[in-house]
Amino acid sequence: VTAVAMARRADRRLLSPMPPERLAALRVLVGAYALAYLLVRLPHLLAVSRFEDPRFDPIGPLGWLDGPVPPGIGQPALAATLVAGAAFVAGWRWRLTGPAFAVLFLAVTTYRNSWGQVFHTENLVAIHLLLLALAPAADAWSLDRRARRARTSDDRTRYGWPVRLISLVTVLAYVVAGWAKIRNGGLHWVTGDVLRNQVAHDNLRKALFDDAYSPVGAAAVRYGWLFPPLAAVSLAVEVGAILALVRGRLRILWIAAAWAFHIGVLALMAIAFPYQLTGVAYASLLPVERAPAWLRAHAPQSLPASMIRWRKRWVRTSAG
Amino acid sequence: MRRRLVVYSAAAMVLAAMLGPPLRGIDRDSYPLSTYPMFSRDRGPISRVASAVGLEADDDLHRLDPHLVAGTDEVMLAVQTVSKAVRDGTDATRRLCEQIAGRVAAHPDLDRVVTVVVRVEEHHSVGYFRGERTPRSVEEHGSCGVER
Repeated sequence: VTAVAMARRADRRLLSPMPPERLAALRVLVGAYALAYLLVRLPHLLAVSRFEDPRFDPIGPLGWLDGPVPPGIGQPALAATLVAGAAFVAGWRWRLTGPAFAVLFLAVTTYRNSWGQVFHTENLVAIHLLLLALAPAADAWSLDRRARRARTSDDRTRYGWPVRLISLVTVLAYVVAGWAKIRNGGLHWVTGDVLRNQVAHDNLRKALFDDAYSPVGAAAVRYGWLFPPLAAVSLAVEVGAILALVRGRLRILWIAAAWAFHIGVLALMAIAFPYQLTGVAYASLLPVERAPAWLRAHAPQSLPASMIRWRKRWVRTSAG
Repeated sequence: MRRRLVVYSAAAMVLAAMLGPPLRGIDRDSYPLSTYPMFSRDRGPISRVASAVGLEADDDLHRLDPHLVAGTDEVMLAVQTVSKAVRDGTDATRRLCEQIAGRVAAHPDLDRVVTVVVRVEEHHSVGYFRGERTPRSVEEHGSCGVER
């Protein structure tokens, strides 16, 4: 009876309606994040596009490649990804540009990960983009909507389940990471020196390559007693991600804990997970479509006047 | 009913994609579907790190950054580059050494560096940050001159 009741509850949750603006907000947030990420990492991606050496070790969807892609193909593909990304965010010609950006982003980031090192910083965003691309994410807040190429449907269930699948992917990524630690390290991962040695090893590699390492991590590894509690909290956050599927305070609590966990990783190892640190990774778990109205309601009333004064001052300075 | 079928099929695919690799016990990591193995293994306190260093004529040592070693700003990529060259043997190590020497020759702050050495250093990782900066052992896998 309990299993049937749980199945019914899961069914209701998965198929419950949601406003189209939630999906649209996710399209804008995740798309803008992915586009900004590509722009910030452009020098690195261009360098990777010129790699020719035998380091090439293709993985995932590019596993079929038998050698590096010539720059004459890689660099135009990178440019096409940026253009498709702008269209994705704007919701322009969604049925074409949505899937195009998701696939191109996946191709570009898979190629970057195909040189002997999988970075784990882009996995979630790549899967989120794919799910968004298959959903009616440009029915609202889009150029397609403005041009009447798209309209919102009265059937609001079609906007709910893609958001819930995106959330499920986020949760599962953490659970799988936690499971890997239990499987590979067992209880020793928490009680032993596994985390301490990992933090020390990671910072050591950076130091030996004259790269920036974490002074916090370098100082912390001197105190072994710090690490079992840190390991226990890390594991609890990862395995406890399942709590994010429960609505209400538990979900908010988990999001805060997960974000703090990534701050901890940044502090101890100088490893940034920007998708998580910006909060965009958790957007599907929150009513992000309400953000514009909230911002309008809470924006300082004097802002327009102060902006006008600032503009006048800027014009005077520029003219002078 | 059709909507339910689509939604359940999509949910099943997501679950299979995300949970498939870890449940099958796949060791090799991939992308975008991953087993997220990072930091999960007990690597012990001793770290063996393949790196490249620059030496001046009087043997003063310069650590070389990821850009000089591998033409990238990603330190992990640089580590993997040297590790793979060492694994692949003498020819691969010599090729990498010459590439690094070319970048060192063009670097204005490294004009006193005359030799590049590809090597594997062994450190006590925690001890390093307690001040034990001298490697416990060093294996040289190749060296080359810096031609200007």
